[in-house]
Amino acid sequence: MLAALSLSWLYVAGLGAAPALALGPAVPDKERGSPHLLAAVWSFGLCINYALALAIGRLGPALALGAGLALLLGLAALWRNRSWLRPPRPAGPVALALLLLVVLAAAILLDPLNDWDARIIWFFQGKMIFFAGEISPGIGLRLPAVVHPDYPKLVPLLAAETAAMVGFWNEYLPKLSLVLLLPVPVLALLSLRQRPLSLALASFGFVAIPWQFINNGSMDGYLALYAGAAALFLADWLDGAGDSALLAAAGALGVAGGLKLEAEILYLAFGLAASALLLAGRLRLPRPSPAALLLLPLPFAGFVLWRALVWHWSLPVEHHPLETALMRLSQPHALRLIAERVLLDPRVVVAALLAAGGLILSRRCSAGLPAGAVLAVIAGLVYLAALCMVFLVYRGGRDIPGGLEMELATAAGRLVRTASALLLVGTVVALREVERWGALGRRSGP
Amino acid sequence: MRAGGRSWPIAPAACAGAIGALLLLLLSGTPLSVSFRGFLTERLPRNLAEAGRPGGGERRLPDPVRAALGLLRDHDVAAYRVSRRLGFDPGLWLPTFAAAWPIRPDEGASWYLAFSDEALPAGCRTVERRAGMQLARCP
Repeated sequence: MLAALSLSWLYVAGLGAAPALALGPAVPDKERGSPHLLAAVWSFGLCINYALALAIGRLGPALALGAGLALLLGLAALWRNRSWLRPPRPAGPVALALLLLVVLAAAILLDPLNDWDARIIWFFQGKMIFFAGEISPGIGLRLPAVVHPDYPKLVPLLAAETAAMVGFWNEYLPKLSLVLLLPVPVLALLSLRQRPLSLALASFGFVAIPWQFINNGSMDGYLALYAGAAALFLADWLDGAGDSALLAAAGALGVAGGLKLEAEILYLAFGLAASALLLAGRLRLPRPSPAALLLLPLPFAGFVLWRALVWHWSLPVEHHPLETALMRLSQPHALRLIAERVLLDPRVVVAALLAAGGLILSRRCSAGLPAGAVLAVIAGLVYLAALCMVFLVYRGGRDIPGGLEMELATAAGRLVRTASALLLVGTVVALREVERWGALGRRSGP
Repeated sequence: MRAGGRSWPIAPAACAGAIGALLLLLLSGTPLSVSFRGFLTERLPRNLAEAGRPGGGERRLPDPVRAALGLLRDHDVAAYRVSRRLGFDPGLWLPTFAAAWPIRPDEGASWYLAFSDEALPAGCRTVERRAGMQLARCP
């Protein structure tokens, strides 16, 4: 059992070796072994495993092919980049990050499932896949008691694969799927290791925003973490961190697409924010290498494949007609409720105030606002606006007195975490710029 | 750190300090120390033991769900149907459905799961009652 669980780390790293293999010697010295490249490798591994399992359908053959590919890609990447290889010397922040990873992994694995959504949706669907040994509509996804069969399956598939490796299902070990999601956010934090204030704020935010969702098996916390990590990697790429940062951002967004449907809102938010900044002439995109451009769509293969399968298998999908929004627009009580629960959520208010402070500070104390900070803040605001729209059109409880109130009470506090993470990353990137200028000032002083 | 040419053993001193603080916390008798002791002596060993077992961790399920699960498993049920009242109680029905899987709900099944105080459909007879739930066999 322990061997199976330990091998999963090599499996994901090997499967995701494509960025290290493709960029290879073209990676500049400073990027070799950087958190960006490692995060790209890890997130690509998660995404390729997701796409493979969906494309093949059966767990056994998908795992066998995945293991073969992991071995091949991993060894090829190691061989191609053998000149980089050095004995590991974990020190300072790296050692702390490893410790954080071990503590979180123990906390996750030694606490059985307890959350309602985790038990009824994510891990139950993993259990169905494990017992059937495959993912197909025939495993029971169309049964009326199956809640949200159209939800993405990255974590259910990882949970089913874990159970398949150990040979049985229980309420602990499938949570390894959550542990395997931890490295990318931790690596995103490590990318800030040269800027202690930014690192401290980001570390606090990356724990406080998802909080119980790190452990309880619902996906909202991880969606927030991956949104934050993607925003941070994008900011680094815009700041000249190179192709590995771009691939890390793509990988993080790809994983987000496999976690929850709200990732589509995240894509929309980043798309609109980037378009607005480009149109305003405030954003200059670095030119990626052809190898990076070629790899860029790979992490989204699982996301696209799952949407196609949902359509092909005719799985039940919730429809929320616009007429509900029109009805609610004429109800001041409903509008006030939505604004209260979404925009005045304490996590949103604190993150928005921090973002405003960070941007003002950055404007006054550095060369100007970093594009990555503005991109993250605008994406966070667009995400919040889109969430308000989602609750406006939400059909559930339309005819039940207090239905919207109940929905907001149970869902809003979870969903706003992604927007909070984006706003927080905006603050962190702005603060990092201030720290950099402070450091430069000291260096250039007498 | 060096002071007057002598090097201070910071790491062992920090470890000794941390161990001392942990011992103090464990022995202090505060609610936090009682909870931490409970974690070390009860919850951690139980979780470690259950984590490696099939079905481990099901103790967190609500009592009626565990009762229903026990009834279905002990009688080797492969498929079952539920009473209307249970089916309309999502707080109990959905966790039962999820926990019992791969034992499937099936409208044509002869096993019938219901609350203990429910009247059974004609021809069905109770096989066993447990913690507010009953399993019946129907023609």
